[in-house]
Amino acid sequence: MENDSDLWIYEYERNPDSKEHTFGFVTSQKVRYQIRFKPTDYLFENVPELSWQTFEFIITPVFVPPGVKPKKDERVPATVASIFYDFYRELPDNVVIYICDSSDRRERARERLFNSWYYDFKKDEPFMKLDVGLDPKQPDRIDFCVIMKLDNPYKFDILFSIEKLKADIESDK
Amino acid sequence: MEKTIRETAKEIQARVEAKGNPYANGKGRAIMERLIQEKKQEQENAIREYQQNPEIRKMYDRLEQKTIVKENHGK
Repeated sequence: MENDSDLWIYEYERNPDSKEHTFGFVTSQKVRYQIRFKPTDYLFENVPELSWQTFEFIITPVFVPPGVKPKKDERVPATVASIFYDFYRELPDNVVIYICDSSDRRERARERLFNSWYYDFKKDEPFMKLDVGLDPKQPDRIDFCVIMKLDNPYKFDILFSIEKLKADIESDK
Repeated sequence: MEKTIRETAKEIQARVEAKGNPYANGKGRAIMERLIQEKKQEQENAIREYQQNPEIRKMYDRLEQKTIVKENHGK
């Protein structure tokens, strides 16, 4: 995945003999990240056409050198953006979801970080992001976002499904 | 006559609603909780896979070299 025109983007590769849609890169602090788009076939159960096109975005620091505290690094969002582009270039109708885990109360920080990746990624491209806050007033709130191309043929199906999901969770109290 | 976006949206809404509500009776929250659990599991698996699979570590070693070369090149 050489990109000579963008030397500031970290080189990345697909994981060898691993699950598909999995990539790795290493930062200048030698932190090793894995990015995975995990197939998620059960979120939009009422739209079967989406079952094989919905993926959850997961980023994992698989190795952090001892004593290193990862600092803000502009190359990381740029690299994540480039990986997103590659992913959508292969499969343009894909839908990606990102869940901001709230178990350690750092969901806001994760949301801000993901937004910075997204806006690096989006630029002038025809993508849309839906920010969904389920049960925003509850301690066990769930925040996630959905990213898809503006011309995704199932855009409205996704919007209505999310409305239903939101309504169900909020009426469940 | 060409349909308006509003008409298309209404048609799709009716189609989605005709398929029932897969999120009813607490299933929506269960789906979200499953997603959260699977994300945690996936992150644990990624770390374990990195530790156990020498091919993956080789990939990262190679990438680390590329990062070093790029940094030096940029200086």
